[in-house]
Amino acid sequence: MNIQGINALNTYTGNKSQNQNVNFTGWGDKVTDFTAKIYGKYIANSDRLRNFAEKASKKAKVENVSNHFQVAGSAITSSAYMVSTMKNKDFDKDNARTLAINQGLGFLVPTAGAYITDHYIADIKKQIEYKYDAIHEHRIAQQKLTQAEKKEAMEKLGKKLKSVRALMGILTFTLIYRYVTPVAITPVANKIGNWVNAKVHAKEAAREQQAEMPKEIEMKPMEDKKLNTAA
Amino acid sequence: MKIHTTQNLNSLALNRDIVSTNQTGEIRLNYSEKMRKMRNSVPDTYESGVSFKGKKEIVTKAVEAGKKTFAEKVANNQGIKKFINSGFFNTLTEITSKQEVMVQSGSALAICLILRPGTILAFPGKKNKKDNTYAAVHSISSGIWGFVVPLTLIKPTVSGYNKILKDMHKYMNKYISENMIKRRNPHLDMTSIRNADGSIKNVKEWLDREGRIFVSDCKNVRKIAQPKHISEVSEDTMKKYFKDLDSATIKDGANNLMTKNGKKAQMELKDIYIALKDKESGKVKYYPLEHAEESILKEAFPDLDINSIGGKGIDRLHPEKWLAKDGKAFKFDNNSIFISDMAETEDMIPLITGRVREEVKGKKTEIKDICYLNNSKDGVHDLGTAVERDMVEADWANTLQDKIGGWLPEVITAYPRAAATIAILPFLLKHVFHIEKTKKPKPPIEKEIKTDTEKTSGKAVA
Repeated sequence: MNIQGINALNTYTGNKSQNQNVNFTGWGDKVTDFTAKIYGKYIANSDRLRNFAEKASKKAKVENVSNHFQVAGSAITSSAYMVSTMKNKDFDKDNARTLAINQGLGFLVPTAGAYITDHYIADIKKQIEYKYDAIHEHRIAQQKLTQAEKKEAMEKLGKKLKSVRALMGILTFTLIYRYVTPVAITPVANKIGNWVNAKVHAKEAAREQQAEMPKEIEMKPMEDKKLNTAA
Repeated sequence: MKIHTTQNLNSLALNRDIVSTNQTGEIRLNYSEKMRKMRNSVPDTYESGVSFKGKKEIVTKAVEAGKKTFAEKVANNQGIKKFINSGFFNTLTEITSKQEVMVQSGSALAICLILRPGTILAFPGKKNKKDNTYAAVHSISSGIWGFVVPLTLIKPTVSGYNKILKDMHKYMNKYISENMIKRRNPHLDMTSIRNADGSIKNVKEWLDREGRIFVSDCKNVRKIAQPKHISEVSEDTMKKYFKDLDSATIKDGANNLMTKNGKKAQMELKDIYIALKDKESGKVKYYPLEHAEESILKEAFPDLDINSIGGKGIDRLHPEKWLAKDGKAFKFDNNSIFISDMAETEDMIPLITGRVREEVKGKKTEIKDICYLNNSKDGVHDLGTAVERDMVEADWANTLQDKIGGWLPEVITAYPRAAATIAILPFLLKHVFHIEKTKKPKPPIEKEIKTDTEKTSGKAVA
């Protein structure tokens, strides 16, 4: 006789006092207990954060928040690289400029690209979520599960469903940031950087030429000589 | 003879009235000819579809399937289906539901470890071999570095937050207040969370305001297999829902189905679904006859005496016992029956009954169908807790708050991590792995310009 289902039920409806005093003795649990204390409670119990979440979520879609956080992380990382490049004394001015342009464009272009791509695949993400849901609902329905097991399976599925679209958004952004950017955008950005450098040099050269022109005018004793000669 | 169909061919026997044969001998299903004209509405899980705006009418024939959009075709692609059905995708969604940052860093690791070095080495470009190797090794190391830090620092931090939400009963009034739990779950019955002695019950024993087991996740709603018209389903399905059905009577039409004993074959009320079509938008929605709101039934059956149907759910009478407005027995047309069975379709839709809620997002207000949580007491007659407006709004806020909780450590540590990568990685590669990028010669353009300048100045000086 298969008693797996009965055991699953007993897990939750057994000794009540045992359920209330859950003792976590594992190393991992101690760590998460600690992080719950130093971090989790400030997020979970913050009135300010809750007020903000309640107001903001009524105004904009919350499904895309993961993408925005990825962009924020990427913006900070790119700025760190840019600052580091500009401060690096080993780089000459040209290299620093090229790299900074590279890093700036390496953030802006893929970010725009990622948002555009994500917008265009929104419907595909939605349909994949439906398909994923249908496949798993079918699977759960076909399995011979007890009421408790079914409830648990459905709860898990509900949580996973919430993350299907977020997952595809994350994969899209990561693929663009980590693959398309260095492979396709960086070489183009490098060329742009070199082009800017060439422009700057050309301007500098022209400026230097102009700066030297008055010297030539000052050094025009020829005219005086001519005048003198004429005189 | 070619047969063009995406349907279960077993059902063809029932579809004689909707099948036509053309001159070339091809069989085409009429519904698929017509399907290009309109598209069915698929409610968006608990958010559900927008409520009908126009007048509704009962559907008494096979619903024309909407033309598949590009997105639907992609989702139905065999390769995609195989992928989303795989354990790998399932694991990814499970990790994402707990730790989005780890999925991001994990996928970045895969790209940096395999895809990028592969591309660099496969398409070396103009760079020398040493630089390509350096770029590939740099990619691999930055990927590993970018994964190790989130794994060791961010994952445990976010797990601490997740744990509070998962074991609310354990952390209540310690790390999360009762008030905050109520704000997160407006449908939670706060009187159900304590035992008689005042101690806190396990969260799995908590109840909601409708007296059912508390389900915190509003996306976990009751769904049904997309119903199909009685004429579309297979013989096996017909036999499943009509007890003792005489298969030979199927061809006589839905209103002439007989049992083997010669009695009129009937379906149980709980298995009957009806479909309503919005005249304005052309969209079709499906309602369980046992639970459909009276307003829906009034529109579906204008001649029906609504007071004769009994109550709702288990109290509702079988249509055979309903009365018409003139006091005579109501003639329920079996052609208005739709059957929801998983063997007939792989599409699932949320269960709706015609109850609606208001949804306000920014300046936009919409009326949407109410869905029901997956906490029905008996899984049949009891619907489950209705997902009302306050629950949906709290769920939005929960999603945002949880995402902030999940991503904040990543954003906060982004700058120092990047700075550390810049400082440590080239050093490690140089001194541990003895790989170094070749130093670039000065750009030739600079030389040319300098030479030109020198020449110019030289000329000037001269």
